[in-house]
Amino acid sequence: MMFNTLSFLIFFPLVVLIYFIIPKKIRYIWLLVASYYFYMSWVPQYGILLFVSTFITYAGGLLIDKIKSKGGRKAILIASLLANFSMLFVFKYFGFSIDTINSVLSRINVSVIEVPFTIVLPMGISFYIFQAVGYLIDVYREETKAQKNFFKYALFVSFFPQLVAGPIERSGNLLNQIGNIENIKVFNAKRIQDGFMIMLFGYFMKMIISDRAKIFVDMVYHEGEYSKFVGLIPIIATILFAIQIYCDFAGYTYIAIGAAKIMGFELMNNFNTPYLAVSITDFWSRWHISLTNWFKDYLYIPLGGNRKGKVRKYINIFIVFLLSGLWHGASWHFVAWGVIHGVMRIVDDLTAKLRDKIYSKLGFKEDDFGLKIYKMTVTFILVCLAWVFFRAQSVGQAVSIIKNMFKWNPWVLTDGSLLNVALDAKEMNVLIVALAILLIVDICRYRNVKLLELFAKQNWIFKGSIIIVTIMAILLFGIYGSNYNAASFIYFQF
Amino acid sequence: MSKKIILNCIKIGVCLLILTALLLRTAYVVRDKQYTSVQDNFRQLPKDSVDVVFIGQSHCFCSIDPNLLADEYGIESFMLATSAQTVPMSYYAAKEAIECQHPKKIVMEVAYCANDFRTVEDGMTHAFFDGMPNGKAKKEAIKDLIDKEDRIYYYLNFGMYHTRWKDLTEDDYKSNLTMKRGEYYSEDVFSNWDYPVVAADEKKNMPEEMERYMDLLVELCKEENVELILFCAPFGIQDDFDDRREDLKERQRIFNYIEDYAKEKNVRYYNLFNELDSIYEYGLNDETDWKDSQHLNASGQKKLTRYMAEKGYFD
Repeated sequence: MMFNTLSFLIFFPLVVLIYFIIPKKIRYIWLLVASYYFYMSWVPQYGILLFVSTFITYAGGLLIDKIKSKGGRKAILIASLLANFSMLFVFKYFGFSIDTINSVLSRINVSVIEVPFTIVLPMGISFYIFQAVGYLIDVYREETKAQKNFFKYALFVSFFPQLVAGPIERSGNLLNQIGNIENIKVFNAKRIQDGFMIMLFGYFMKMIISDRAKIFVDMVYHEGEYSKFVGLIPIIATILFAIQIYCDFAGYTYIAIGAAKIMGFELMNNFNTPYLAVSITDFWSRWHISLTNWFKDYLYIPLGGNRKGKVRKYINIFIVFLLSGLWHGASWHFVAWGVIHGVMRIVDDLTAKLRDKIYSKLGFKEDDFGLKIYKMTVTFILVCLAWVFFRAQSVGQAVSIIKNMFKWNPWVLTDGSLLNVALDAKEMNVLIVALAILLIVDICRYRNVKLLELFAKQNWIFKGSIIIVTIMAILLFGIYGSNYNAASFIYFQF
Repeated sequence: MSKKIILNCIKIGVCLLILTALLLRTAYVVRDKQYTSVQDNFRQLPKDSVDVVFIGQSHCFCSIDPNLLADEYGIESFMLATSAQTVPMSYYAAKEAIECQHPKKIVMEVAYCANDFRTVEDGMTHAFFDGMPNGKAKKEAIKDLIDKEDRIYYYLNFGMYHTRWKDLTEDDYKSNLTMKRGEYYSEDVFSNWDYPVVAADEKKNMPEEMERYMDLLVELCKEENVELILFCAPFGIQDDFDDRREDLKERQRIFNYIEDYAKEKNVRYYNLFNELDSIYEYGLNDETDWKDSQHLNASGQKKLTRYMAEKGYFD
């Protein structure tokens, strides 16, 4: 069930209403049932997978908690991790591995391996397995206590607002809240209002901006068409993809955060104005924060982090980004995207002092506005270049698209060619106005302006008007309806 | 309940009311009135003011001019035919006609009897259903013809039309609709009309499911004491491709079969493919009277309407 479908718009208020009415003690059972229904509405059989991952990590957590010997605890941790990552491998990377082996074998004229079945990637498998595995490691490290109530733990893994596209929650946050679900004040007008506004903003990002930008991007990046587009067109398409993926993923996250908030749960923030980052390092502290933190805590630091010298530190960074690329998709262009970010992150670290020296020699102050804009622009360009590899269907296509960008044709902005690609002038105008609103909101967030607090202080007529206008704008200008392919949230595929 | 809660409920209620009113009005404004306003007009007519209702698909509304019938022959009629209206859809259009007006006659163009479709592409099906009033006929039609998971979109059709925000004109904001009798006129001219005609005794059964709905329609009209008249408007092929020529021949065999079907059911039927010579004599001109290979333009429509009226086909 997608967030931007009529089914969800019926499902969610119903779940919330019943959640508000039923006795506190069985609330978590209700949410668990709702979460499994939410997940199984795609492919019911994959509910079993979710259950198996949940059961393994639940049992693993209890055993680790019970066993005193270090070796025994470690053995259980490794066994549970292996079981979970094996599931992830089979369902996400098996086909990719066979394809890779086949392409190597075909080069030495050996007949290829044939797989007599196809595996459909279960929605959100990377998210919930990472969340469950994170819990297990936390229990092993004694940072969290093993949850004894299976149903509460199952709800932690399957909590429907964040089940299929995160944020990848930590046991210290969400599991604790679920553990104390009886103490959550059910009806809190301010909290519900905040949650509703956050959800609305998520829908605005997804339906007005992301899905509109997608129309242009899909046309320019289409496998059979991309070579036709040169110069500014692929550049604009790539910028629009940067916007599309941000509004898609952050939009989903806001809907998830808002939905959870309405029910009294606080999910972690996953995006913090990423395109206002002043360096690649800064970008990764603002983009998909829950995944970055997961990799930092459960991979980078165990690998030695920055404690074993500079070379080791950079190797660790590289491994993290390589795996992050692979996490995003079982394909070489995702790996390339991860590698590019890994290299950029290392270069950023290596040249940080040199750049600061140059800036100070040129007379720039650290808080210089112009310098900040320059840094943001450079970072955005680098991030966009990497996005080409993410969006393209292959590394070869990405390279061709980048090559095509270096052809001179600024007249496409004025001779009408730009408006003939996929979005006409009216659609472009809507996109530009929506982007201006997004930019204002992001700048406010960047400057720590508490927009929700500000909104809450307004009189009810103003608040009501804003809500009505936003709903009407989404319904009128949003991309949805019978011709809309609900294929939708990009991050669902991970 | 505390005062504060009551006050909050009132505030939310006011906002919901405003939102609903805005939504309803916007839904009306963005709706594609080219199709849906036909049915809107039909409903606004005084009760029992229509003698003849036409149903069927585009061949019907391109062939018959209801205004001409009223002005020249005093036949008060209404065109409820819509683009790609399949036989099952026509059956429900007839139900709607009887529900709203109870006409004396229902005239159906039968070209779609040769197509084994219950519904067609989304847009056309929506155009038909969205114009129907939320009455018994619409409910039954949706339940019968639309997949369970899609039915909701036929009750809440805003999602279908919201993309029209960029095509809105002054007419979209008007509540008074201009089409009096569901008429449609085209001034386009297509001069390369061609058609094959099969012998009247070459016959082929119509698809089973379509015949089932035709049976239902015949039964409905009998029960409601409404005379059902069937006719088949002539149409041609755009290019001289053998497969298209063959396809049209196959269809004509079905139109010939309907002759037997109509006799058996005691229903009047006029297969105009078999009257082409008379129609030409009457003045139909292949150089000037077609809008495209399938449909007559306004000039051809007038000639065919007069031909049928003077022959007493609607009496």
